Amino acid sequence: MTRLTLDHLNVGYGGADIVKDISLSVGSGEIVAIIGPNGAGKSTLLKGLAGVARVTSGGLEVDGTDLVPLSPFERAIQGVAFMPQDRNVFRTLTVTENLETSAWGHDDIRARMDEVIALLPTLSGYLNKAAGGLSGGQRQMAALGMTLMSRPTILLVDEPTAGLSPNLVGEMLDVLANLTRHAGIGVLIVEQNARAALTRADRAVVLVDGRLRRVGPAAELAGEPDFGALFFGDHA
Amino acid sequence: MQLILNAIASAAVLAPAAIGFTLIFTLFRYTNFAAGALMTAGAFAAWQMNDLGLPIWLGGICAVAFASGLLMLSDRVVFEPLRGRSGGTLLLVSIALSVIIDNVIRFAYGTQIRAFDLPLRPPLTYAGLRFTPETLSVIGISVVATLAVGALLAFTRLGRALRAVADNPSLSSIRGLPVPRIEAAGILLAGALFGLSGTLAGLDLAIEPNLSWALTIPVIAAAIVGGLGSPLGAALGAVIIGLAEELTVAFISAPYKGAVGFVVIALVLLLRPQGLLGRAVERK
Repeated sequence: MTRLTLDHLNVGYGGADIVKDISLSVGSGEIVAIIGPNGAGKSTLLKGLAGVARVTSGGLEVDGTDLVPLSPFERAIQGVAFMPQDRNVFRTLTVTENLETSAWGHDDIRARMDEVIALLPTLSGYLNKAAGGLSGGQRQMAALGMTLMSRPTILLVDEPTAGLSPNLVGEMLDVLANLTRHAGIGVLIVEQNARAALTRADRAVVLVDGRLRRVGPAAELAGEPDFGALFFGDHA
Repeated sequence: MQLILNAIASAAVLAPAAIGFTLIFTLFRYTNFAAGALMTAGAFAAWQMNDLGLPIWLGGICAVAFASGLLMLSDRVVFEPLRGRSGGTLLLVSIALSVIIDNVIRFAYGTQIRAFDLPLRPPLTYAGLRFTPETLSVIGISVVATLAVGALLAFTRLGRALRAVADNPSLSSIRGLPVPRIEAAGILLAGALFGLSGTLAGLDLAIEPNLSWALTIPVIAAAIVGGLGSPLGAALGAVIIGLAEELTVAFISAPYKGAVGFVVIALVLLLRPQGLLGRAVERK
């Protein structure tokens, strides 16, 4: 079931479009990885979907609702949860308070917290710690937990493994993949570690210079012998 | 001991306003120099109600509502259109707002000194300390108000949301918090605290338009000493400013009391710019 639809979408800041003419859909329980070189516009695309960057033209819908005129707050109410790469927790609040605050307007906060902790059990080890004092991995896990508190239908995740140690990269991506399938959330993930992301994603899109260069099954793209050379300049 | 009691009484007047000031600063990142003018407006609102025959406590509630509404109005008319401008610009605007409020009060009430209609009673004496029942009321009300705001910020959903918006308004919006509504609640709360402090100042000091200048710097100094962004620090800062003022009166000269706030601000900025609790808050 298609949850998120992008139709010839353009996103930018001020006058200039950074992301151009993107058409894409994300289904329920599907993980779509956005990969591409630095400066390709991957994060800008996610910000445009979340309402942080401006959609200059094109269509954007979640479950048939037009998101383009909506503010970030209104998009969050519509089930769009965005996990930014940086500054993604409230540093002066404890992890518990971060989670509680992320379910504003709902009366079943306790039940939601239990749900999130069941999905991300490591959170229970530092619930009363101030988020500003968390390690990189703990912070990313807390930020992910915050996005889940709203029971989103679409999750937009920007570089969830940035700054994490190599052993935590796989763990974080596995957690994302498991909970996506378990909770039926559609996920768009931007990940620098392209090969790790492709092993967990269903589909992948390659963004180069703000334009969609390729779309296809993640395994197929990862298997192409010239994949790294074409899009990242490497020969891995 | 008498000096300490006097310092606590001064701090009791300043503390709610200092918390209101730091609340506005953390939410919007600007120094609202109109804090003293809003307190003065609150004092006059309470006096006006008292003059019309209402008891002081009811006048105080009216003052809280009036200052709250006045701060909200000034935000909508003056500050909201300038959101995103530099702190310096907003400071200048708030100074202009302060002058306007002071002069509207002066125009409406003249420069005559006014006071609440209080029964004449001799000061009480206990353990060698002299104090009036009003002093005890001022301290009691201030302590209760400070604890109530602390509890609101620490334990309620609104309090957590206020702290979240102060921490990161962009993330708050992304996480589904109605940021404008939460900011409005913060403005109303800060205005209420200015109104309360104004009423307490009216019990402790003469009510006249120049009250604004006597209150602004100590309130800002208390917030800076405590560490901007920390309500607990603001209350603690109010005690330090109250003590410094009383020490100045006792050991130097009463006219120098007005300079205490400036000196303390200068010392804090030189020695510990983050204030007393600023660093502790950052580490949380």
